[in-house]
Amino acid sequence: MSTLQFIDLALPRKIAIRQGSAIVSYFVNPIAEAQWLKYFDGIVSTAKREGNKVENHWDATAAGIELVGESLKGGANAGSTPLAHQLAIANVLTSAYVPEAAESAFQEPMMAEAVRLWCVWGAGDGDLMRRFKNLVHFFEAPTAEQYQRYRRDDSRAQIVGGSRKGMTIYRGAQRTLATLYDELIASVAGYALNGVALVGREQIARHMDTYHKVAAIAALFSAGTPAIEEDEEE
Amino acid sequence: MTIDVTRDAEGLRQAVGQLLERGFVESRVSRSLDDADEGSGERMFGSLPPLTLSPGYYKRAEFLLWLEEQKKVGVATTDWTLSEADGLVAVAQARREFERNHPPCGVCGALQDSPFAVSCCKCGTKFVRRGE
Repeated sequence: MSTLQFIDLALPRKIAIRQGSAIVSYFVNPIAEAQWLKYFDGIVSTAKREGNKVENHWDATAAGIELVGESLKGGANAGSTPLAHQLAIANVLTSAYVPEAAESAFQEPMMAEAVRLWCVWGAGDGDLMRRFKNLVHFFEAPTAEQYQRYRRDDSRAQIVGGSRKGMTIYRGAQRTLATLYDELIASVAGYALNGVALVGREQIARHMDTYHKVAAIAALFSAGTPAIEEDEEE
Repeated sequence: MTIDVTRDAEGLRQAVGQLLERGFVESRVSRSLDDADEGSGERMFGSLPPLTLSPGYYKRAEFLLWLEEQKKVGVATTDWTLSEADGLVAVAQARREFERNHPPCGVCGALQDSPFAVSCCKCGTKFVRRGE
């Protein structure tokens, strides 16, 4: 089995960026939970009513650049990373997402509390970034109290500029989601620590990348997508 | 001035009221849609009561309505924050106001379009007012 079939959370991530015909590689050390929480706090998520429509705005650029700057500190490229590369690295670090059902090759019936993630993690020896599609997080069923905690924090917001025409600034529930992940995670697939599969709640909670934690458990708490058959156009 | 949505009870009461009113009209529109052509269907949805507050109020209001439902069926934790308790009071006020504006028919239970309806919109029962 190739080592690339697991994400090894103990190793630095090699992120290869194409620049013309050359490839520039950066090494990012595992990102601590505190750094991720600072990143989440820096995301700007707003909504404003314009007539009958709501304009949503989401921007993590500044938070991503700050995260990359801290992650590369002390490395060979520290201080000399072009902005375009910083943005590219931030995109890779935050690339975990839940694939659409049609995209996923997950054919067998999923357990209700299993979430599959796809992500671009790092490059192998060939300097090519690889998309991992075999990452699965298995959760215990959340309690009503845990769901309430999530919705309580997800619905926190501040309004600037008046209750009607003002802008809503969402405060985000990522901190709560990271905590709930640690409480609910049962097992994972596709992750390793120093070449050994990651097992046990305590080990997973301690070593799992916090962005992956939040991406996975956010899907657990989100409403599912009903399978809809559209009427054919006449 | 910055408003913390979770502490703005009056804003939340209005948001819940608007969601209840919209839900009521939506259910009426959905029932009528089966008989409607595309144009009139769009007009019907266009006539939904407007949501006039900043979007954050409605997200919190939906959470409070969920909390109210949980409480009603007895599965919610009683470990509420003060802002949730205040929010549930706002939901109760909004619901009372909604029920005053849409009293149920004494025969079939259908909610009426207005408290001044002379007969039930569903079963046709004539309403008798006090003093008539």
